[in-house]
Amino acid sequence: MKWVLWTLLMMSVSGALLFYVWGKVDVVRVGYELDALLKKKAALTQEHERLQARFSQLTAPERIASEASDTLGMRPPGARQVVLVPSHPEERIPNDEPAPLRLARQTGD
Amino acid sequence: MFGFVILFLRFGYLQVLQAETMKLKARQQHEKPITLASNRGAIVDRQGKPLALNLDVSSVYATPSSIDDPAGVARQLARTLGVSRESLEKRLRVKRDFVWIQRKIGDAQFKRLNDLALPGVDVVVESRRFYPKGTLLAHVLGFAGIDSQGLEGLENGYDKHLRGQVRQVVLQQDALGRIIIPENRRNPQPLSGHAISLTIDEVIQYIAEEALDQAVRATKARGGAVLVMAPKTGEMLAWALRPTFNPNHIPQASPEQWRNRGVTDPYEPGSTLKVVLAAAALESNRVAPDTLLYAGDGEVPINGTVIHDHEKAGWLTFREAVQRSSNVAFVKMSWDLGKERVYQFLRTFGFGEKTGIDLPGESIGILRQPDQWSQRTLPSLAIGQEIAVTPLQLLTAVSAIANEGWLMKPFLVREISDQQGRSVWEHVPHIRRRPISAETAKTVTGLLVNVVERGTGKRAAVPGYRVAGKTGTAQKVDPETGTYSSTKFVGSFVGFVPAEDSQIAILVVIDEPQGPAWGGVVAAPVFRKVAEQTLRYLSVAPGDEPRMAASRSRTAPDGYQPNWE
Repeated sequence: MKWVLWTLLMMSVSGALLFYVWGKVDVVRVGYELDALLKKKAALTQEHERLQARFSQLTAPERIASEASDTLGMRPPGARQVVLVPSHPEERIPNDEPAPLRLARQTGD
Repeated sequence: MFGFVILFLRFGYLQVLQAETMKLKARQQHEKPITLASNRGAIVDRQGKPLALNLDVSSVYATPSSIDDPAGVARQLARTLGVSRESLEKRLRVKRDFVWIQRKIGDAQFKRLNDLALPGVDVVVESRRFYPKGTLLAHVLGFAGIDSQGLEGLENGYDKHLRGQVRQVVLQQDALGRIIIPENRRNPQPLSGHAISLTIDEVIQYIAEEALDQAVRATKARGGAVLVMAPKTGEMLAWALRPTFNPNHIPQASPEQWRNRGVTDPYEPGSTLKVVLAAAALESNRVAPDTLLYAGDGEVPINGTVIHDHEKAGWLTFREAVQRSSNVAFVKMSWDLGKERVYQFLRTFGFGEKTGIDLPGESIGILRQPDQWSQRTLPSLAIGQEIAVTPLQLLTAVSAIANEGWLMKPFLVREISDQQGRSVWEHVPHIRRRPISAETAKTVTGLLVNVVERGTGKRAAVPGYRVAGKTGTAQKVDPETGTYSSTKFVGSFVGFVPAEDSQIAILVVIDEPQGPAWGGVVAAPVFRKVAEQTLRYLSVAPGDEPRMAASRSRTAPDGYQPNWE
């Protein structure tokens, strides 16, 4: 009986130790995986920033204007070639409504 | 047994007596101290288009203690990086564990360096400020230094908001140098800086820069400025200056190029200041548009000197005096107003004080106290001399006339937002004061419309819109003689459009144009070009459009008929 108890105790202690070591090893393994994912994320972020910068360069007004005039032969429209269409027709009819409230405040200087 | 005793004693020696030393050694092996630096906040225009952002780049460092042949390594590095071999060798011979070789190198250099695989030389990734639009808005954006610290412009003025956090952390590493538990499992990454959103519109900025470039080239001028403001709020829509620089290549630029002359360099405004004098005279009820003024024979003697008009005018109404920019009429009017009143109006219009714009290094200009004035000062002020104003001061003052007399505080940053894009601060337009009444502002606007329709500013007229504005041609002071130069001028035009409901106010300054220097010749066409394209971009309908739409409304069931029919 005594031996059985001892054996059970030893097995429990060994099991607990193994569980502890397994946990530790797994934390380290997950840590490696996490680190690899973080590096991947950093690389993708870096790529995103690089593409964003490139997009910004390509859509710069100076480049668009030069492409439009040099490559496509476009030029700014004349004074009467642009027709502005109101999104709300009623806005075009003059009325006597008071001016909208000013979004400003006195600074006191 | 003896062996166990030896082992036990050794164990005790290491664990007890050498405990601290061993702990330190172990820590040095498995701990890796690093500096985590987060990104600087982005700067975007009012439409959210990026104007300043960050790119990851490589910086080269060396560990001199692990380099056996400093001369050989220095030679190869010098070839690859284009740095002096002597200075590199000197750095590689110091008794330190870390020295910078070159910060923030290009991709090509990095590739060549990687191929070399030099011992004791490694790279670390750092963040570099990048301005994707190059020279666009360079003076306002300024630039950041090698350690991402703001040095000029908004980068400097808003540095505490833009700057990201920097944190020192210690990571655990294994025998191969791999990180065991990433730092951010326990601690959050340092926060990036806040993003700032400007009032500037990238497209309007381009329109202004392009028009200014063409004018400076055509007139072979020394430089120039085009500032565009929304007069009702004080928002700056464009800020173009020449000469300029590329903030991505600061070593090739000079302070002369990157100085923001829009706020730092006062100049004598010449006749553009007559706008303020006219407003002062009308507000004081000393004149009305039809008041007759005698402009004499085109000249008036002042304390031993003579102030001239371009041509003899005789009797002029005040409206005509503004239209023709008569110096003689304005000198006489200034005498009538008196120096105290002129000084007070100039002050209430914001001259002699900072506008309060959110840019560093703003000048107050030069406006002396009346007790320091000579006999010539008052008539000189009437024609825009003996006073120095910054381009921004003048534009802000004229914008007050466009804004029913309200003087606004100009600003460039409309919003600051955090890393998640949540707004943490928003700029509310600020009224500074009201120098003149709405009635006076309306009258002055009428006079300025007359200048563009019939006077010196005809070339600023924009078809379909009523433009209000004033030309100016000022002689520059020759620094060698201290007198007004007969060859160096500043041609300018300041105005706003549409006159009846102003959406934009524009100041154009052309510095030292060669050939004709009249503001109406060199600056007014630039105003027209910028105003025409900007109004179209902002979809501001021409003055006759609403009437056309209203007259056709009878045929449409919903009261609207497209105006192309």
